[in-house]
Amino acid sequence: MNFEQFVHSIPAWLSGEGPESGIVISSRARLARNIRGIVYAHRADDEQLAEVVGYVLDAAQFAGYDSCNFIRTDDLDELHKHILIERHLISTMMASKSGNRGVIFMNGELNSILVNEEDHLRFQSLRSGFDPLGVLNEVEALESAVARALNFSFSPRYGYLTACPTNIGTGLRVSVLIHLPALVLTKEIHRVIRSSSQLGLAVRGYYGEGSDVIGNLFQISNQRSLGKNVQELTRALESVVKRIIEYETQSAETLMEEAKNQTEDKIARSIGILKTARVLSTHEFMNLCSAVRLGCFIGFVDKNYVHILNDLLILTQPGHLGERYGLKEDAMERDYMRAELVRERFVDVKL
Amino acid sequence: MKCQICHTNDATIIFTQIINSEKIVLQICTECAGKKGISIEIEKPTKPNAASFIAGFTGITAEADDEKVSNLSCPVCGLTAAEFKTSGLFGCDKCPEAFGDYTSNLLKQIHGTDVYEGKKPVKLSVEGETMQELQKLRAELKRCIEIEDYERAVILRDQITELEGKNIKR
Repeated sequence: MNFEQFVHSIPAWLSGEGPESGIVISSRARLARNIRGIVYAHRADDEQLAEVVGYVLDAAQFAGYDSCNFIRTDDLDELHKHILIERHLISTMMASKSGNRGVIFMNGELNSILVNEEDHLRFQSLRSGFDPLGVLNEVEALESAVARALNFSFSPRYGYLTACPTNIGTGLRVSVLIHLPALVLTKEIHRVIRSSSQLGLAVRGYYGEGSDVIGNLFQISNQRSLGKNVQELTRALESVVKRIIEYETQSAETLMEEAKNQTEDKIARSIGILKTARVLSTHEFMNLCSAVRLGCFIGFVDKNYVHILNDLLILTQPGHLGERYGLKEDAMERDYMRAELVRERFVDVKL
Repeated sequence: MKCQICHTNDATIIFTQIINSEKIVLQICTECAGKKGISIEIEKPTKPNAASFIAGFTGITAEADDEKVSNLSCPVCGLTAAEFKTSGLFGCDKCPEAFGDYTSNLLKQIHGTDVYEGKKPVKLSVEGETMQELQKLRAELKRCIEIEDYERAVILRDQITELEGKNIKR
């Protein structure tokens, strides 16, 4: 695994392409599965974990994923684990645990299989833009291919069995990473969050469970996984998110009608800071980027700047910065290098 | 009105949860709400972690059943219902069945139902079955060598060679 090159590349799910990519950054689907007859990862000893890894690697190879990469998290230092977390390839929970665990990824990081996280297998598919049914089809194809060589824990009554009862049934979690600055600015976001949760969806921050909302980026996902099939669950999320997209679009229009000057001022100033700053924390950077992204969406600045924002969304994360510039665990130094990288990328950005 | 969980403090919060038209109402104190991971701040879109989420649900089940439930354990992996309540995670694929009604009530509370809808696992391909068999034999062989049961190890080794040959032919 060549991390030096890795940290210069942008995962395809951040390409800024796809439906509604002005508001929805990416769509993701995952299926949780366990291998029949082996205790779940959190109760397994290292031999059992190794057994699982063996099964999964063989099955993945059988499914035709010959050129796939398997990265054992134990082989990585903290910095490299961070990089994988930032690229949504492993979870923070995975990074904190030792033993035989890891991730197989293929197709330019769009598809992956997490091995021995909370469940033996977590299939994941990511795409740029708003395409929940697309990622569902992808992840189902991946799972079906591997399922021809693995017996999954399944009960006719409860469906696919998982360690956590919140995933039992389909094992499906489908989500979108969505940018909602206008709803935040017009203070309508709390209503959206409340009604989403009443409709069975969870709204979280950028890094999922337990993470803060930064840069007006939200993750919206289904909460239930039982009682409906995967298509129904995905369509339900799709229809709610469609409404949220409409609502965000209307709020952006309202902003432009009622506070055009202030909104444009905020965007212009943000670009000014990003083009000139010498020190940028993640938090400040994410919030400034949010303003520029809104600028792209309402057509105040060139729409293509979204690509710069998406690149920076990953390149400015602590792990990526650390590897790129050979930094130690020093937040001050990181904030300085972040600002330098941002200035470099913002050099041609104009109002 | 005293808190329905600790029965000591005054209830200050009415916690209502509606899942598929099943309504659960609890009058609880701020302290217990905190312990159960119920956020009283509506403004913040945070979600309690899975363990406290499950614990929150288990607290809602009738207390009389609690002792009976806590004595349950999984015959395969040995996880007790009490341990499950703390971690929020099953230990193996036999746990849900072992915890009986407790599991199905919990699933109803989380998902609004305990009945699965969706596809069934596909049948293993012939190669897939051979692979599974091989994996099992290899694991057993390793264990036999560890305990120095060489007689059995020889048999296993021959079985593995035979199966591997079959797989290559395919």
